[in-house]
Amino acid sequence: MDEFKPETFETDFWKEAEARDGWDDLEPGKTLESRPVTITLEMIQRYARSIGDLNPLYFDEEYAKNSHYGGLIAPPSIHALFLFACTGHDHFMRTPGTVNMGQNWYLQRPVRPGDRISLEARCLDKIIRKGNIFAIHDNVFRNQNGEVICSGRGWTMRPY
Amino acid sequence: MPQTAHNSLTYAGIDVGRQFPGPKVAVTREMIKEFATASFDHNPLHWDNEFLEKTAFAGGKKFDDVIGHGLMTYALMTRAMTDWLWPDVGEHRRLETRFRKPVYPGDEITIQGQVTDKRETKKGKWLVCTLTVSNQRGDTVATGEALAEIFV
Repeated sequence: MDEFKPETFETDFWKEAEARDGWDDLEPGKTLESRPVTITLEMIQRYARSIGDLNPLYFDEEYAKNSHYGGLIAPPSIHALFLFACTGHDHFMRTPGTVNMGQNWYLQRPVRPGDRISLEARCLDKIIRKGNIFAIHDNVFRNQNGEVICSGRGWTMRPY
Repeated sequence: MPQTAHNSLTYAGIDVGRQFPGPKVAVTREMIKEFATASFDHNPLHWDNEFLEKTAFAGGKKFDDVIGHGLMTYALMTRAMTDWLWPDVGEHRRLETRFRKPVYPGDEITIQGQVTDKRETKKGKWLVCTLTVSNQRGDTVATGEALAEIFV
């Protein structure tokens, strides 16, 4: 897939919703298509502001330069943004009514402005519990040097 | 913002049982919208009341209003760690969360943390912390377990 471009991102998740995989179509273990995203300082700062996190490590270049990070970084939960930026409109995570039940992430190294982030994604497991259907998402994000940024698992309830 | 009072914290000086407050946040529809824009997650659960009125979820239940993103709550929970760990005490390494109840516009959520275990490995010093997210009615809306690697 072509690199993520914010200006062409489709925000209408209803559009072509029927073309996405439903629970029945998911194949645990199969690698899903993804695309790289180059993260800008603007994207990092907009994300940080949206959660009210004004840590100077995201905003104050001088402060960040003098810290052991050696420069500005992104908030640790920036993978929330990558999950959508690095997947296409046909990814089942976008299906309207998807409910996030839980997340676990291990954070290996910080994301920096200008990093080109890529995703290795798959559905890891499918579950039926108390009459509800769930999927386990498995995601690993790497930077332009091939180093792991973070690795995580999500658990969503599927509408169908 | 990092709290300077925490800058004297060290692994040896942090006891199991120590509590630490996280952010207290008044959630608004506007905040949810901003998080959707910033994270590119435009699921109608977060903006479309019409969809929510006609859609039943687990056990036939409906949501009362649009709901905040699980990852928005997750992001606030990471602040409960980085606000005192960064930049010098240590690194926020892991967070495992369960989103137990919806977070609605108008909710005021409070995060409380506690150190529940300590462990030194061959190369590191680690704290296990629990995080509890409560709303103004006293409901637990999310719980989490975090891992911090301590440098000092």
